[in-house]
Amino acid sequence: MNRMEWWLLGALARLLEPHERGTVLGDIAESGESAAQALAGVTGLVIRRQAALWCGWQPWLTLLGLVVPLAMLLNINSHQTADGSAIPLWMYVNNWETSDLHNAGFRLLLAQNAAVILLRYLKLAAWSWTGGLVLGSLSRRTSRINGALFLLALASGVVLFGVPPRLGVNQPVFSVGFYRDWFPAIVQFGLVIAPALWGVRRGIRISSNRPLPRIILATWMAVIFTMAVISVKNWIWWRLPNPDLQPTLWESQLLRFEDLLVYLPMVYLAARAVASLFHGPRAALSRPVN
Amino acid sequence: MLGEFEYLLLTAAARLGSQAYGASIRQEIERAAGRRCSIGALYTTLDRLESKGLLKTHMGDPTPQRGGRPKRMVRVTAKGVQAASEFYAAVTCMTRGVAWEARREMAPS
Repeated sequence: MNRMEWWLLGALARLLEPHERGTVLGDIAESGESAAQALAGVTGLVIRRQAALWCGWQPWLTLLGLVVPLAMLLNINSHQTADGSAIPLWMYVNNWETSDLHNAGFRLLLAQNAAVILLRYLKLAAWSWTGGLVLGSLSRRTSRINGALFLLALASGVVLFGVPPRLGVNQPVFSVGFYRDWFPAIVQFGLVIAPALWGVRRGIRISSNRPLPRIILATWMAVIFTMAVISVKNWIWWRLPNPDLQPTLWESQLLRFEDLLVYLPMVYLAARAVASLFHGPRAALSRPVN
Repeated sequence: MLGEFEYLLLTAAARLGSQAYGASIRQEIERAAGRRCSIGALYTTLDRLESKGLLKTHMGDPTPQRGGRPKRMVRVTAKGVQAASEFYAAVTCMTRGVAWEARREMAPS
């Protein structure tokens, strides 16, 4: 086998447990199999191992209780953020006049709008990173598959949720191809997919070192699930106006409270980092599992 | 009762003794059965037999031939020997007097 084939085989074998990966690749090296035979053999073993894992309920709970709602929540938020920021962006970029800068009121409004947009972008990126982190940290053995499915769901969100609202008043903005087609995709890749991928990688490292406590994971899953349900309902309401589905005051209060709870894993990691800074790495807040 | 592949694997491991590990067992099965033995089938069966207590495995030393990667060494336990003997007894008992037993005896080795 050439170097490229070995690299491909090594990448596939990363889906196996570390101790098994070494012995399997060693057996292949010793037997002198062809690349096709080796790839077929390792693929077969990976499928058997994953199939055995997915016979349990935990990966399904993660997939249906976290991967799907989180991807939907992030997709909807990504498009709301993109559409919401496209309007002020269009106002400033496409209608820019330098003379406006002489007006103090214009400068104040520009600063306010820029701050609001940047905070929305930061919030979306932080949610995506945290989501990836939690997913990656859940189970070392299924995190790669769940992570891949999550990223696939996020990538498909560009197509599935990529229809901006055709509101008459915003027609001039969304009639520009960049704001209608490209801008939501840029926001989705830059503020959702890239941070989520980074989070998944970080989470996989955490899972093999000191996983997040179960109480934080359970709380986080419940928060994401309810937020996703409310967001999907509201998203449908915006598309198909129906008074019965109108967002309630209770829901907006709940969403405001849950907005804070989304950062729970980040707060925990920060607290753990501070604890280890003062008391050494042994004084981490959770016990190592498996 | 063992499955056919489980029996082949246990027998190959017993025959190889201290040299029984993934690649050598696979080679032995392929030689005896005359068909390909997939890595997936081998390792999942090894795990199953180990969980049943019919064999034990441990990590061996890495060798340059294997690119410095370790071997998964296999040892058949007393329970494994017992299970393989029972399977063999059942197969020979069942085969006695059947047409293909005579054909096998007549065939040149």
